Amino acid sequence: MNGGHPNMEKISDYLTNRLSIEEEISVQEHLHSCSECMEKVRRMRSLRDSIFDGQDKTEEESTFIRIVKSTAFKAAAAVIILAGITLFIRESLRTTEEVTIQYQIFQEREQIDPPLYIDTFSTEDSLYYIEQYGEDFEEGK
Amino acid sequence: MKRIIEEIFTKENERYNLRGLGFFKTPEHEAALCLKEFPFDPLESLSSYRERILDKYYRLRGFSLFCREHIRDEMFEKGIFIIMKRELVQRIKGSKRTDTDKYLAPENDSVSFLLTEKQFQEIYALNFGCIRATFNTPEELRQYCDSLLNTYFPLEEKSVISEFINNTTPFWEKFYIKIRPICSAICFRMSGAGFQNFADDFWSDTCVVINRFITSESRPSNLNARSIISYAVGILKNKNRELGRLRRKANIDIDNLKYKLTDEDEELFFNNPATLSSNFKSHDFHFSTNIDIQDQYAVRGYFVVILYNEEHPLHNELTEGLQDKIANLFLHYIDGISYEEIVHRNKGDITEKEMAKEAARLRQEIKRVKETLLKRYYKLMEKYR
Repeated sequence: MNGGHPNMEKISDYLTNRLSIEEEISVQEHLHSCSECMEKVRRMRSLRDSIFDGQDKTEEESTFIRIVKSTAFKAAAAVIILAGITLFIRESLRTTEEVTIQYQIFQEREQIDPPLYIDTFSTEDSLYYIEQYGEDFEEGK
Repeated sequence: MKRIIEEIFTKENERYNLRGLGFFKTPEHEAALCLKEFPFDPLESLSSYRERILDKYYRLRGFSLFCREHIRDEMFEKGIFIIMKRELVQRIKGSKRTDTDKYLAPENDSVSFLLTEKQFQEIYALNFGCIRATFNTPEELRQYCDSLLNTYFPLEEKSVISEFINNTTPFWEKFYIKIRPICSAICFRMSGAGFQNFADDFWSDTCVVINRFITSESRPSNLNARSIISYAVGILKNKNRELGRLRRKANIDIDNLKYKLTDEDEELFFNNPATLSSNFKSHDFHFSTNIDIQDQYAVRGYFVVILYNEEHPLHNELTEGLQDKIANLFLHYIDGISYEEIVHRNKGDITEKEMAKEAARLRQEIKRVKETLLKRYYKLMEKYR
Protein backbone atom coordinates (compact mmCIF):
# COMPACT_ATOMS: atom_id res chain seq x y z
CA MET A 1 0.00 0.00 0.00
CA ASN A 2 1.20 3.47 -0.89
CA GLY A 3 0.07 6.09 1.62
CA GLY A 4 -3.05 4.02 2.32
CA HIS A 5 -3.77 3.43 -1.39
CA PRO A 6 -2.83 0.11 -2.91
CA ASN A 7 -0.02 0.63 -5.42
CA MET A 8 -0.32 -0.17 -9.12
CA GLU A 9 1.22 -3.60 -8.63
CA LYS A 10 -1.39 -4.51 -6.03
CA ILE A 11 -4.23 -3.28 -8.23
CA SER A 12 -2.76 -5.22 -11.16
CA ASP A 13 -2.56 -8.36 -9.03
CA TYR A 14 -6.12 -7.74 -7.88
CA LEU A 15 -7.35 -7.53 -11.48
CA THR A 16 -5.39 -10.58 -12.62
CA ASN A 17 -6.47 -12.76 -9.64
CA ARG A 18 -3.01 -13.03 -8.16
CA LEU A 19 -3.97 -12.07 -4.62
CA SER A 20 -4.88 -14.41 -1.80
CA ILE A 21 -8.46 -14.23 -0.46
CA GLU A 22 -7.27 -12.21 2.54
CA GLU A 23 -5.38 -9.71 0.35
CA GLU A 24 -8.37 -9.47 -1.96
CA ILE A 25 -10.72 -8.66 0.93
CA SER A 26 -8.30 -6.01 2.17
CA VAL A 27 -8.25 -4.38 -1.31
CA GLN A 28 -12.06 -4.49 -1.44
CA GLU A 29 -12.29 -2.85 1.99
CA HIS A 30 -10.08 -0.06 0.66
CA LEU A 31 -12.15 0.26 -2.51
CA HIS A 32 -15.26 0.57 -0.38
CA SER A 33 -13.89 3.70 1.26
CA CYS A 34 -11.78 5.15 -1.60
CA SER A 35 -13.61 6.32 -4.68
CA GLU A 36 -10.32 7.25 -6.36
CA CYS A 37 -9.03 3.66 -6.33
CA MET A 38 -12.47 2.31 -7.15
CA GLU A 39 -12.49 4.56 -10.20
CA LYS A 40 -9.03 3.31 -11.21
CA VAL A 41 -10.21 -0.31 -11.02
CA ARG A 42 -13.38 0.58 -12.91
CA ARG A 43 -11.42 2.29 -15.68
CA MET A 44 -9.03 -0.63 -16.11
CA ARG A 45 -11.85 -3.13 -16.15
CA SER A 46 -13.85 -1.00 -18.55
CA LEU A 47 -10.87 -0.82 -20.91
CA ARG A 48 -10.41 -4.61 -20.69
CA ASP A 49 -14.08 -5.33 -21.37
CA SER A 50 -14.37 -2.86 -24.25
CA ILE A 51 -11.31 -4.20 -25.98
CA PHE A 52 -11.91 -7.90 -25.49
CA ASP A 53 -15.71 -8.01 -25.74
CA GLY A 54 -15.52 -6.98 -29.38
CA GLN A 55 -12.84 -9.58 -29.89
CA ASP A 56 -15.02 -12.22 -28.32
CA LYS A 57 -17.70 -11.64 -30.93
CA THR A 58 -15.17 -12.11 -33.73
CA GLU A 59 -13.63 -15.11 -32.02
CA GLU A 60 -17.02 -16.75 -31.61
CA GLU A 61 -17.66 -16.49 -35.35
CA SER A 62 -15.69 -19.03 -37.28
CA THR A 63 -13.84 -18.07 -40.45
CA PHE A 64 -16.50 -19.90 -42.46
CA ILE A 65 -19.31 -17.83 -40.90
CA ARG A 66 -17.37 -14.61 -41.48
CA ILE A 67 -16.85 -15.54 -45.13
CA VAL A 68 -20.55 -16.38 -45.48
CA LYS A 69 -21.50 -13.04 -43.94
CA SER A 70 -19.21 -10.98 -46.20
CA THR A 71 -20.72 -8.79 -48.95
CA ALA A 72 -18.49 -10.35 -51.60
CA PHE A 73 -19.78 -13.79 -50.70
CA LYS A 74 -23.39 -12.59 -50.81
CA ALA A 75 -22.85 -11.00 -54.25
CA ALA A 76 -21.15 -14.16 -55.55
CA ALA A 77 -23.96 -16.31 -54.17
CA ALA A 78 -26.61 -14.06 -55.86
CA VAL A 79 -24.79 -14.31 -59.21
CA ILE A 80 -24.50 -18.10 -58.92
CA ILE A 81 -28.20 -18.46 -58.00
CA LEU A 82 -29.28 -16.18 -60.90
CA ALA A 83 -27.07 -18.07 -63.33
CA GLY A 84 -28.52 -21.34 -62.03
CA ILE A 85 -32.10 -20.19 -62.50
CA THR A 86 -31.36 -18.91 -66.02
CA LEU A 87 -29.68 -22.18 -66.97
CA PHE A 88 -32.59 -24.21 -65.57
CA ILE A 89 -35.23 -22.21 -67.48
CA ARG A 90 -33.19 -22.35 -70.68
CA GLU A 91 -32.65 -26.08 -70.37
CA SER A 92 -36.36 -26.70 -69.63
CA LEU A 93 -37.43 -24.72 -72.70
CA ARG A 94 -34.89 -26.52 -74.86
CA THR A 95 -36.08 -29.94 -73.62
CA THR A 96 -39.76 -29.09 -74.28
CA GLU A 97 -38.89 -27.94 -77.79
CA GLU A 98 -36.89 -31.10 -78.51
CA VAL A 99 -39.69 -33.35 -77.24
CA THR A 100 -42.22 -31.57 -79.47
CA ILE A 101 -39.97 -31.95 -82.51
CA GLN A 102 -39.32 -35.62 -81.76
CA TYR A 103 -43.07 -36.22 -81.40
CA GLN A 104 -43.74 -34.56 -84.71
CA ILE A 105 -41.09 -36.71 -86.45
CA PHE A 106 -42.59 -39.84 -84.86
CA GLN A 107 -46.11 -38.91 -86.02
CA GLU A 108 -44.88 -38.26 -89.56
CA ARG A 109 -42.98 -41.56 -89.62
CA GLU A 110 -46.07 -43.44 -88.41
CA GLN A 111 -48.09 -42.08 -91.31
CA ILE A 112 -45.42 -43.20 -93.84
CA ASP A 113 -44.59 -46.64 -92.35
CA PRO A 114 -47.45 -48.16 -90.37
CA PRO A 115 -46.10 -49.82 -87.35
CA LEU A 116 -45.44 -53.55 -87.42
CA TYR A 117 -47.58 -55.16 -84.74
CA ILE A 118 -46.34 -58.33 -83.15
CA ASP A 119 -48.92 -61.10 -83.23
CA THR A 120 -49.93 -62.67 -79.98
CA PHE A 121 -51.14 -66.23 -79.59
CA SER A 122 -54.84 -65.81 -78.85
CA THR A 123 -57.80 -68.21 -78.36
CA GLU A 124 -58.72 -67.61 -81.99
CA ASP A 125 -55.27 -68.86 -83.02
CA SER A 126 -55.73 -71.95 -80.87
CA LEU A 127 -58.98 -72.75 -82.59
CA TYR A 128 -57.29 -72.34 -85.98
CA TYR A 129 -54.50 -74.72 -85.09
CA ILE A 130 -56.92 -77.25 -83.61
CA GLU A 131 -58.79 -77.15 -86.86
CA GLN A 132 -55.57 -77.62 -88.83
CA TYR A 133 -53.76 -80.21 -86.74
CA GLY A 134 -56.49 -81.89 -84.73
CA GLU A 135 -57.06 -82.47 -81.03
CA ASP A 136 -53.31 -82.93 -80.38
CA PHE A 137 -52.90 -79.23 -80.33
CA GLU A 138 -55.44 -78.81 -77.56
CA GLU A 139 -54.28 -76.67 -74.70
CA GLY A 140 -52.58 -78.56 -71.92
CA LYS A 141 -51.61 -81.60 -74.10
CA MET B 1 -23.08 0.14 -0.95
CA LYS B 2 -24.46 -1.13 -4.26
CA ARG B 3 -21.16 -0.29 -5.94
CA ILE B 4 -19.02 -2.36 -3.58
CA ILE B 5 -21.42 -5.32 -3.67
CA GLU B 6 -21.21 -5.19 -7.46
CA GLU B 7 -17.46 -5.10 -7.11
CA ILE B 8 -17.52 -8.19 -4.84
CA PHE B 9 -19.66 -10.13 -7.31
CA THR B 10 -17.58 -8.94 -10.26
CA LYS B 11 -14.50 -10.24 -8.48
CA GLU B 12 -16.22 -13.54 -7.64
CA ASN B 13 -17.00 -13.89 -11.34
CA GLU B 14 -13.43 -13.09 -12.34
CA ARG B 15 -12.07 -15.55 -9.81
CA TYR B 16 -14.32 -18.53 -10.59
CA ASN B 17 -15.69 -17.65 -14.06
CA LEU B 18 -19.24 -18.12 -12.72
CA ARG B 19 -20.83 -16.38 -15.67
CA GLY B 20 -18.96 -18.57 -18.13
CA LEU B 21 -20.09 -21.64 -16.22
CA GLY B 22 -23.70 -20.46 -16.40
CA PHE B 23 -24.13 -19.85 -12.66
CA PHE B 24 -24.22 -16.03 -12.81
CA LYS B 25 -26.48 -14.01 -15.08
CA THR B 26 -24.40 -10.85 -14.66
CA PRO B 27 -22.50 -9.66 -11.57
CA GLU B 28 -24.78 -6.59 -11.45
CA HIS B 29 -27.91 -8.75 -11.51
CA GLU B 30 -26.55 -11.00 -8.75
CA ALA B 31 -25.56 -7.97 -6.65
CA ALA B 32 -29.04 -6.46 -6.92
CA LEU B 33 -30.62 -9.78 -6.01
CA CYS B 34 -28.28 -10.24 -3.07
CA LEU B 35 -28.87 -6.73 -1.70
CA LYS B 36 -32.60 -7.35 -1.89
CA GLU B 37 -32.32 -10.63 0.02
CA PHE B 38 -29.63 -9.61 2.49
CA PRO B 39 -29.63 -5.87 3.24
CA PHE B 40 -26.44 -4.34 4.59
CA ASP B 41 -26.30 -3.65 8.31
CA PRO B 42 -24.42 -0.33 8.81
CA LEU B 43 -22.92 -1.65 12.07
CA GLU B 44 -21.30 -4.58 10.31
CA SER B 45 -17.85 -4.43 8.70
CA LEU B 46 -17.55 -5.06 4.97
CA SER B 47 -15.47 -8.22 5.43
CA SER B 48 -17.96 -9.86 7.80
CA TYR B 49 -20.90 -8.77 5.63
CA ARG B 50 -19.08 -10.17 2.58
CA GLU B 51 -18.48 -13.49 4.28
CA ARG B 52 -22.06 -13.69 5.55
CA ILE B 53 -23.83 -12.72 2.34
CA LEU B 54 -21.66 -14.78 0.02
CA ASP B 55 -22.18 -17.88 2.13
CA LYS B 56 -25.96 -17.39 2.35
CA TYR B 57 -26.26 -16.26 -1.25
CA TYR B 58 -24.51 -19.28 -2.74
CA ARG B 59 -26.59 -21.61 -0.56
CA LEU B 60 -29.76 -19.84 -1.71
CA ARG B 61 -28.74 -20.14 -5.35
CA GLY B 62 -27.87 -23.83 -4.95
CA PHE B 63 -24.16 -23.77 -5.73
CA SER B 64 -23.76 -27.28 -4.32
CA LEU B 65 -26.27 -28.76 -6.76
CA PHE B 66 -24.77 -26.72 -9.57
CA CYS B 67 -21.36 -28.31 -8.87
CA ARG B 68 -22.75 -31.82 -8.84
CA GLU B 69 -24.57 -31.25 -12.13
CA HIS B 70 -21.54 -29.73 -13.86
CA ILE B 71 -18.75 -31.86 -12.48
CA ARG B 72 -18.26 -33.57 -15.85
CA ASP B 73 -18.42 -30.36 -17.90
CA GLU B 74 -15.23 -29.41 -19.67
CA MET B 75 -15.63 -25.77 -18.64
CA PHE B 76 -16.02 -26.73 -14.99
CA GLU B 77 -12.93 -28.93 -15.15
CA LYS B 78 -10.97 -26.10 -16.76
CA GLY B 79 -12.16 -23.77 -14.00
CA ILE B 80 -10.87 -26.16 -11.33
CA PHE B 81 -7.52 -26.36 -13.14
CA ILE B 82 -7.22 -22.56 -13.05
CA ILE B 83 -8.21 -22.44 -9.35
CA MET B 84 -5.53 -25.02 -8.53
CA LYS B 85 -2.87 -23.17 -10.48
CA ARG B 86 -3.76 -19.93 -8.69
CA GLU B 87 -3.47 -21.69 -5.36
CA LEU B 88 -0.04 -22.93 -6.35
CA VAL B 89 1.04 -19.37 -7.18
CA GLN B 90 0.10 -18.42 -3.61
CA ARG B 91 2.18 -21.34 -2.33
CA ILE B 92 5.21 -20.23 -4.33
CA LYS B 93 4.88 -16.78 -2.77
CA GLY B 94 4.28 -18.09 0.74
CA SER B 95 6.60 -21.06 1.11
CA LYS B 96 10.35 -21.55 1.49
CA ARG B 97 12.18 -22.06 -1.79
CA THR B 98 13.06 -25.72 -2.32
CA ASP B 99 16.56 -26.84 -3.36
CA THR B 100 15.12 -28.18 -6.60
CA ASP B 101 13.76 -24.71 -7.39
CA LYS B 102 17.07 -23.10 -6.46
CA TYR B 103 18.76 -25.01 -9.30
CA LEU B 104 15.97 -25.44 -11.83
CA ALA B 105 13.45 -22.59 -11.56
CA PRO B 106 13.71 -18.84 -12.19
CA GLU B 107 13.53 -16.40 -9.31
CA ASN B 108 10.01 -16.04 -7.84
CA ASP B 109 8.97 -19.13 -9.73
CA SER B 110 8.95 -22.83 -9.11
CA VAL B 111 9.08 -26.27 -10.69
CA SER B 112 8.24 -27.93 -7.37
CA PHE B 113 4.78 -26.33 -7.52
CA LEU B 114 4.22 -26.79 -11.23
CA LEU B 115 0.94 -28.45 -12.19
CA THR B 116 0.82 -29.80 -15.72
CA GLU B 117 -2.41 -30.58 -17.54
CA LYS B 118 -1.62 -34.32 -17.49
CA GLN B 119 -1.08 -34.32 -13.74
CA PHE B 120 -4.25 -32.29 -13.25
CA GLN B 121 -6.25 -34.84 -15.25
CA GLU B 122 -5.04 -37.57 -12.89
CA ILE B 123 -5.90 -35.51 -9.79
CA TYR B 124 -9.31 -34.59 -11.19
CA ALA B 125 -10.20 -38.14 -12.18
CA LEU B 126 -9.18 -39.44 -8.76
CA ASN B 127 -10.79 -36.76 -6.61
CA PHE B 128 -13.67 -35.33 -8.61
CA GLY B 129 -14.77 -38.43 -10.56
CA CYS B 130 -16.94 -39.65 -7.69
CA ILE B 131 -17.42 -36.56 -5.57
CA ARG B 132 -18.44 -37.09 -1.97
CA ALA B 133 -17.83 -33.59 -0.60
CA THR B 134 -20.45 -30.84 -0.81
CA PHE B 135 -19.40 -27.35 -1.83
CA ASN B 136 -21.84 -24.72 -0.72
CA THR B 137 -19.71 -21.84 -2.00
CA PRO B 138 -16.89 -21.39 -4.51
CA GLU B 139 -14.69 -20.65 -1.50
CA GLU B 140 -15.38 -24.15 -0.14
CA LEU B 141 -14.53 -25.57 -3.55
CA ARG B 142 -11.26 -23.60 -3.49
CA GLN B 143 -10.49 -24.92 -0.02
CA TYR B 144 -11.07 -28.47 -1.22
CA CYS B 145 -8.67 -27.87 -4.12
CA ASP B 146 -6.20 -26.42 -1.65
CA SER B 147 -6.38 -29.49 0.58
CA LEU B 148 -5.85 -31.75 -2.45
CA LEU B 149 -2.78 -29.77 -3.47
CA ASN B 150 -1.33 -30.35 -0.01
CA THR B 151 -1.05 -34.04 -0.75
CA TYR B 152 0.71 -33.57 -4.09
CA PHE B 153 2.91 -30.49 -3.67
CA PRO B 154 5.75 -29.58 -3.45
CA LEU B 155 6.88 -32.24 -5.90
CA GLU B 156 9.83 -34.32 -4.80
CA GLU B 157 13.11 -33.80 -6.60
CA LYS B 158 12.80 -37.28 -8.13
CA SER B 159 9.40 -36.44 -9.67
CA VAL B 160 10.70 -33.15 -11.07
CA ILE B 161 13.72 -34.89 -12.62
CA SER B 162 11.48 -37.51 -14.22
CA GLU B 163 9.43 -34.69 -15.80
CA PHE B 164 12.68 -33.31 -17.24
CA ILE B 165 13.63 -36.76 -18.54
CA ASN B 166 10.17 -37.16 -20.09
CA ASN B 167 10.67 -33.82 -21.84
CA THR B 168 7.65 -32.15 -20.22
CA THR B 169 7.57 -28.71 -21.84
CA PRO B 170 6.44 -26.49 -18.89
CA PHE B 171 9.31 -27.79 -16.75
CA TRP B 172 11.88 -27.20 -19.46
CA GLU B 173 10.53 -23.72 -20.17
CA LYS B 174 11.11 -22.71 -16.55
CA PHE B 175 14.64 -24.08 -16.73
CA TYR B 176 15.39 -22.20 -19.94
CA ILE B 177 14.32 -18.98 -18.25
CA LYS B 178 16.46 -19.92 -15.25
CA ILE B 179 19.67 -20.29 -17.26
CA ARG B 180 19.24 -17.11 -19.29
CA PRO B 181 20.69 -14.69 -16.74
CA ILE B 182 23.29 -17.31 -15.77
CA CYS B 183 24.30 -17.42 -19.42
CA SER B 184 24.67 -13.63 -19.48
CA ALA B 185 26.67 -13.70 -16.24
CA ILE B 186 29.05 -16.41 -17.47
CA CYS B 187 29.51 -14.76 -20.87
CA PHE B 188 30.18 -11.42 -19.17
CA ARG B 189 32.70 -12.96 -16.75
CA MET B 190 34.52 -14.99 -19.36
CA SER B 191 34.36 -12.87 -22.45
CA GLY B 192 34.04 -9.35 -21.10
CA ALA B 193 32.29 -6.49 -22.82
CA GLY B 194 30.36 -7.22 -25.95
CA PHE B 195 28.99 -10.44 -24.47
CA GLN B 196 25.46 -9.39 -25.35
CA ASN B 197 26.19 -9.99 -29.04
CA PHE B 198 26.45 -13.72 -28.60
CA ALA B 199 24.88 -14.42 -25.17
CA ASP B 200 21.44 -15.03 -26.69
CA ASP B 201 22.86 -17.46 -29.26
CA PHE B 202 24.79 -19.29 -26.55
CA TRP B 203 21.66 -19.44 -24.45
CA SER B 204 19.49 -20.96 -27.17
CA ASP B 205 22.26 -23.41 -28.16
CA THR B 206 22.68 -24.44 -24.53
CA CYS B 207 18.92 -25.01 -24.17
CA VAL B 208 18.92 -27.35 -27.18
CA VAL B 209 22.06 -29.27 -26.09
CA ILE B 210 21.02 -29.74 -22.46
CA ASN B 211 17.53 -30.86 -23.46
CA ARG B 212 18.93 -33.45 -25.90
CA PHE B 213 21.37 -34.71 -23.31
CA ILE B 214 18.90 -35.10 -20.44
CA THR B 215 16.18 -36.69 -22.59
CA SER B 216 18.63 -39.11 -24.27
CA GLU B 217 19.55 -42.57 -23.01
CA SER B 218 23.15 -41.48 -22.49
CA ARG B 219 22.27 -39.31 -19.47
CA PRO B 220 23.80 -40.38 -16.14
CA SER B 221 21.63 -42.61 -13.97
CA ASN B 222 22.06 -40.57 -10.77
CA LEU B 223 20.68 -37.33 -12.17
CA ASN B 224 19.64 -34.57 -9.75
CA ALA B 225 18.72 -30.88 -9.90
CA ARG B 226 22.26 -29.73 -9.18
CA SER B 227 23.74 -31.97 -11.87
CA ILE B 228 21.33 -30.61 -14.52
CA ILE B 229 22.39 -27.03 -13.87
CA SER B 230 26.03 -28.18 -13.73
CA TYR B 231 25.74 -29.58 -17.25
CA ALA B 232 24.16 -26.36 -18.45
CA VAL B 233 26.96 -24.28 -16.89
CA GLY B 234 29.52 -26.68 -18.36
CA ILE B 235 28.06 -26.28 -21.84
CA LEU B 236 28.10 -22.50 -21.47
CA LYS B 237 31.70 -22.52 -20.30
CA ASN B 238 32.79 -24.71 -23.19
CA LYS B 239 31.07 -22.40 -25.64
CA ASN B 240 32.83 -19.38 -24.16
CA ARG B 241 36.13 -21.27 -24.17
CA GLU B 242 35.69 -22.06 -27.86
CA LEU B 243 34.98 -18.40 -28.53
CA GLY B 244 38.07 -17.44 -26.51
CA ARG B 245 40.22 -19.75 -28.57
CA LEU B 246 38.82 -18.30 -31.75
CA ARG B 247 39.56 -14.80 -30.59
CA ARG B 248 42.96 -15.83 -29.20
CA LYS B 249 42.36 -13.68 -26.23
CA ALA B 250 45.26 -13.88 -23.80
CA ASN B 251 43.32 -12.60 -20.81
CA ILE B 252 41.09 -15.69 -20.54
CA ASP B 253 42.46 -18.33 -18.23
CA ILE B 254 41.22 -21.32 -20.19
CA ASP B 255 42.99 -23.94 -18.08
CA ASN B 256 41.22 -22.89 -14.94
CA LEU B 257 37.74 -23.38 -16.38
CA LYS B 258 36.03 -26.40 -14.88
CA TYR B 259 33.18 -28.45 -16.22
CA LYS B 260 31.64 -29.33 -12.86
CA LEU B 261 29.74 -26.84 -10.79
CA THR B 262 31.97 -25.99 -7.86
CA ASP B 263 31.18 -24.23 -4.60
CA GLU B 264 32.84 -21.17 -6.04
CA ASP B 265 30.50 -21.33 -9.04
CA GLU B 266 27.60 -21.65 -6.71
CA GLU B 267 28.64 -18.46 -4.98
CA LEU B 268 29.28 -16.71 -8.26
CA PHE B 269 26.20 -17.71 -10.18
CA PHE B 270 23.52 -18.50 -7.63
CA ASN B 271 24.18 -16.48 -4.53
CA ASN B 272 25.79 -13.50 -6.17
CA PRO B 273 23.49 -10.46 -6.21
CA ALA B 274 25.23 -9.28 -9.38
CA THR B 275 23.96 -12.30 -11.32
CA LEU B 276 20.33 -11.95 -10.34
CA SER B 277 18.03 -11.80 -13.30
CA SER B 278 16.78 -8.43 -12.09
CA ASN B 279 20.20 -7.02 -12.99
CA PHE B 280 19.65 -8.01 -16.59
CA LYS B 281 16.80 -5.77 -17.62
CA SER B 282 16.06 -7.61 -20.84
CA HIS B 283 15.54 -10.82 -18.84
CA ASP B 284 13.65 -9.19 -16.04
CA PHE B 285 10.14 -9.96 -17.20
CA HIS B 286 8.52 -13.25 -18.07
CA PHE B 287 4.82 -13.89 -18.65
CA SER B 288 5.08 -17.43 -17.31
CA THR B 289 6.11 -16.11 -13.91
CA ASN B 290 3.39 -13.45 -13.91
CA ILE B 291 0.27 -14.86 -15.46
CA ASP B 292 -1.38 -18.13 -16.31
CA ILE B 293 -1.95 -17.99 -20.05
CA GLN B 294 -4.86 -20.43 -19.79
CA ASP B 295 -6.72 -18.03 -17.52
CA GLN B 296 -8.58 -15.61 -19.81
CA TYR B 297 -9.16 -13.07 -17.02
CA ALA B 298 -5.45 -13.07 -16.25
CA VAL B 299 -4.42 -12.73 -19.90
CA ARG B 300 -6.91 -9.94 -20.56
CA GLY B 301 -6.28 -8.22 -17.27
CA TYR B 302 -2.56 -8.23 -17.87
CA PHE B 303 -2.99 -6.53 -21.22
CA VAL B 304 -4.69 -3.64 -19.47
CA VAL B 305 -2.08 -3.68 -16.70
CA ILE B 306 0.69 -3.16 -19.28
CA LEU B 307 -1.31 -0.64 -21.29
CA TYR B 308 -2.54 1.40 -18.35
CA ASN B 309 0.54 1.26 -16.14
CA GLU B 310 3.24 3.50 -17.62
CA GLU B 311 5.75 2.11 -15.12
CA HIS B 312 5.42 -1.45 -16.40
CA PRO B 313 8.64 -2.76 -18.05
CA LEU B 314 6.73 -3.69 -21.22
CA HIS B 315 4.59 -0.54 -21.48
CA ASN B 316 6.90 1.27 -23.91
CA GLU B 317 7.34 -1.78 -26.09
CA LEU B 318 3.57 -2.19 -26.30
CA THR B 319 2.68 1.44 -26.97
CA GLU B 320 5.66 2.68 -28.99
CA GLY B 321 4.59 5.20 -31.63
CA LEU B 322 0.91 4.96 -30.67
CA GLN B 323 0.78 7.19 -27.58
CA ASP B 324 -1.44 9.93 -29.12
CA LYS B 325 -3.82 7.41 -30.59
CA ILE B 326 -4.00 5.52 -27.29
CA ALA B 327 -5.17 8.72 -25.60
CA ASN B 328 -8.18 8.76 -27.97
CA LEU B 329 -8.74 5.06 -27.35
CA PHE B 330 -8.87 5.72 -23.60
CA LEU B 331 -11.30 8.60 -24.10
CA HIS B 332 -13.62 6.43 -26.11
CA TYR B 333 -13.37 3.11 -24.26
CA ILE B 334 -12.88 4.24 -20.66
CA ASP B 335 -14.70 7.55 -20.49
CA GLY B 336 -17.33 6.52 -23.00
CA ILE B 337 -16.93 9.72 -25.05
CA SER B 338 -18.39 9.52 -28.55
CA TYR B 339 -16.21 9.84 -31.67
CA GLU B 340 -17.94 13.14 -32.53
CA GLU B 341 -17.18 14.58 -29.10
CA ILE B 342 -13.50 13.58 -29.36
CA VAL B 343 -13.31 15.19 -32.81
CA HIS B 344 -14.97 18.31 -31.39
CA ARG B 345 -12.40 18.41 -28.57
CA ASN B 346 -9.49 18.03 -30.96
CA LYS B 347 -10.66 20.13 -33.91
CA GLY B 348 -13.16 22.57 -32.44
CA ASP B 349 -16.24 23.64 -34.39
CA ILE B 350 -16.30 22.14 -37.86
CA THR B 351 -19.00 21.67 -40.48
CA GLU B 352 -21.40 18.73 -40.30
CA LYS B 353 -19.89 17.14 -43.40
CA GLU B 354 -16.36 17.45 -42.02
CA MET B 355 -17.50 16.11 -38.66
CA ALA B 356 -18.96 12.98 -40.27
CA LYS B 357 -15.75 12.48 -42.20
CA GLU B 358 -13.48 13.05 -39.17
CA ALA B 359 -15.60 10.86 -36.87
CA ALA B 360 -15.43 8.00 -39.39
CA ARG B 361 -11.67 8.47 -39.66
CA LEU B 362 -11.30 8.44 -35.87
CA ARG B 363 -13.40 5.30 -35.57
CA GLN B 364 -11.16 3.56 -38.06
CA GLU B 365 -8.05 4.84 -36.28
CA ILE B 366 -9.20 3.55 -32.86
CA LYS B 367 -10.13 0.21 -34.37
CA ARG B 368 -6.68 -0.11 -35.98
CA VAL B 369 -4.89 0.94 -32.77
CA LYS B 370 -6.83 -1.68 -30.83
CA GLU B 371 -5.88 -4.36 -33.33
CA THR B 372 -2.24 -3.29 -33.38
CA LEU B 373 -2.05 -3.30 -29.57
CA LEU B 374 -3.55 -6.77 -29.36
CA LYS B 375 -1.17 -8.10 -32.02
CA ARG B 376 1.77 -6.58 -30.18
CA TYR B 377 0.54 -8.01 -26.87
CA TYR B 378 0.32 -11.56 -28.24
CA LYS B 379 3.79 -11.14 -29.75
CA LEU B 380 5.11 -9.95 -26.38
CA MET B 381 3.55 -12.98 -24.71
CA GLU B 382 5.40 -15.18 -27.15
CA LYS B 383 8.65 -13.24 -26.78
CA TYR B 384 8.66 -13.13 -22.98
CA ARG B 385 6.96 -16.43 -22.29
